Amino acid sequence: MKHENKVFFLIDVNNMYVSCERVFDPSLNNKPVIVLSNNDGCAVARSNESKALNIKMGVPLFQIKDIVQKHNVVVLSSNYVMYAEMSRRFHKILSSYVTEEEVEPYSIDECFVDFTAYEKNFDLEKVGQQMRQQIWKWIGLPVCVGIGRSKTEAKISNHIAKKNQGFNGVCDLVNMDPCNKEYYFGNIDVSEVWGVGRKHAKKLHSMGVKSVLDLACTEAREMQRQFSIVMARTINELQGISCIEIEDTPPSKKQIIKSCSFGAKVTEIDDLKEAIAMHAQEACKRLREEKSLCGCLLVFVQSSPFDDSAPFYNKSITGAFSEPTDCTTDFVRAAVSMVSDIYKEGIKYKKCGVILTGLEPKVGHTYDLLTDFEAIEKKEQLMKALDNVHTKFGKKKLGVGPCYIPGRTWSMSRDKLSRNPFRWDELIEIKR
Amino acid sequence: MSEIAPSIIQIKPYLTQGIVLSEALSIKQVIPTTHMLVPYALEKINAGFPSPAQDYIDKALDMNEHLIKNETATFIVKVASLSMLNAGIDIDDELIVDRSLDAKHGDIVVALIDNDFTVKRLMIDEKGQWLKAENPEYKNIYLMDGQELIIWGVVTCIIKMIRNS
Repeated sequence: MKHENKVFFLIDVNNMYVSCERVFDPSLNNKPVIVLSNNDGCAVARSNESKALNIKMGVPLFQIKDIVQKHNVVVLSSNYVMYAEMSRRFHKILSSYVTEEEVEPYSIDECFVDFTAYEKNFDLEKVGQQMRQQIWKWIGLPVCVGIGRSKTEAKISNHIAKKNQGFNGVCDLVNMDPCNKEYYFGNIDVSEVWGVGRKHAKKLHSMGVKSVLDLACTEAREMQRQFSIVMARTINELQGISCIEIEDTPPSKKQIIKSCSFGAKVTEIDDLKEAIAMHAQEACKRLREEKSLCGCLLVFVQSSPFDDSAPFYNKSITGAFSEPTDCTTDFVRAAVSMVSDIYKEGIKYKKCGVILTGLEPKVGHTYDLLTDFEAIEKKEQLMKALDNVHTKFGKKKLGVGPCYIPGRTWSMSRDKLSRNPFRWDELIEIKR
Repeated sequence: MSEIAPSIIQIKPYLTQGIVLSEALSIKQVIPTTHMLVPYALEKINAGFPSPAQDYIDKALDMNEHLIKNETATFIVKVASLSMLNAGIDIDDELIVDRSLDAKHGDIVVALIDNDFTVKRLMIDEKGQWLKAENPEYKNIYLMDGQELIIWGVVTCIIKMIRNS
């Protein structure tokens, strides 16, 4: 459906992970800070001060050791549990502005709001400022707000608000003078447009389409021939015609991935089995939370691609369950036996994981004629008991195999983890 | 895919032998499923509104409802200072802090001075804002030139555990 008079907001938290850390540790304010990926590998979030030191997104820590030391960059492990709670609050504040159907949590730090129904009654820029101030006051996170006639426009608008101080964090393309709009569109590279990947950007550049303005001025139907319907839609969106609706109910997941790098290199099959058992259990728990069944399991192991002394080992194996299941013991048994099949002696493993595919909603599943319903019912009860134990005593108190016993040789290293201020035993302390 | 499938199918007979299962089944009977409306659930993004029917079902006292007026803006912190002892705030007390409130004269606040947390009583007089300690052994905080006072949140409640477990 195409609409010309829609109004979309995109609200985006600036440097989300660093900003979350600063709420609970104000001593990080005004300092260069980076947050590392799982296992303390690469920088996945940077404060403005770190960006100014030319620390790039995704760069491995060992490559920036010198900058870190020279400029006293604060290095933190990622505290995903805390970020998730802050994200929940961020989205909740925004959902108070409109109805449930008009808000789309797009990612941990981004949210679309369809404001079309209220446009006539409000000054859009003021609403944007109000959102910004409320989120800052209530949960201490700095955000930028982009407003446009389509989601793609709102995205670009947000980019403009971020890059140009004069906007004070809110850019309203809906009410912007067309000449100004052209000026800003003309100054942004086409690769910044939502949905234009690096590959497309290259091709566009070679065609002379360099800026957002260039792309907005192309003929959608002509471009559809050379690219795809997606590109045509993007161009329409840039021209202020909304083609992508708010998705208030996220589509059910196609797959569940659970993997992690090891804290140290792993060579023994027993360690690998422990780690894969943990991933299988956690993936299976997520499966139950989504009320789905899984028909197909993929297990993979990898050595480090950065290790020059040995060839890169990357092997995976797929298996189908005879009956789709959400039972942890099924998963652990399958994953452990599968990992043995792809294990090769003498490899220094750096990573392993599971991917669950063939997902289907549990309620819609039809069991075949020969199903042993007694067994299914027993598994069902066992999983209920397991989940109850987890809810009451924590996820690590009961599991299959020894993977949750502290100090495993393969455990993830998170040396610089901040505390989780949403736990009773880790509350922030006020010392003065 | 076919090569490993048999090993997975073997799982079924193993599980139906059920030694582990029968134990787990009996566990299920003794698990009390308490339902607490803890506002800082860590697991999921809570989309959607609660059912209006809840109001009629849940008539029991709910501490969260009583103590927390705005869940989204509420944080809990722990005290490690004696500077507010005479206001009833002791070491290890927990404070409920509501960031959505505008701090008024006389409110106890969690504030930032030089990017450091402090808990004090906010005083607003003709000279501006200053922070009052509620313990004669501690100094009040008056802002020096270039120093900034940032109100982090307003304290609405003190949780004081009086019986050590």
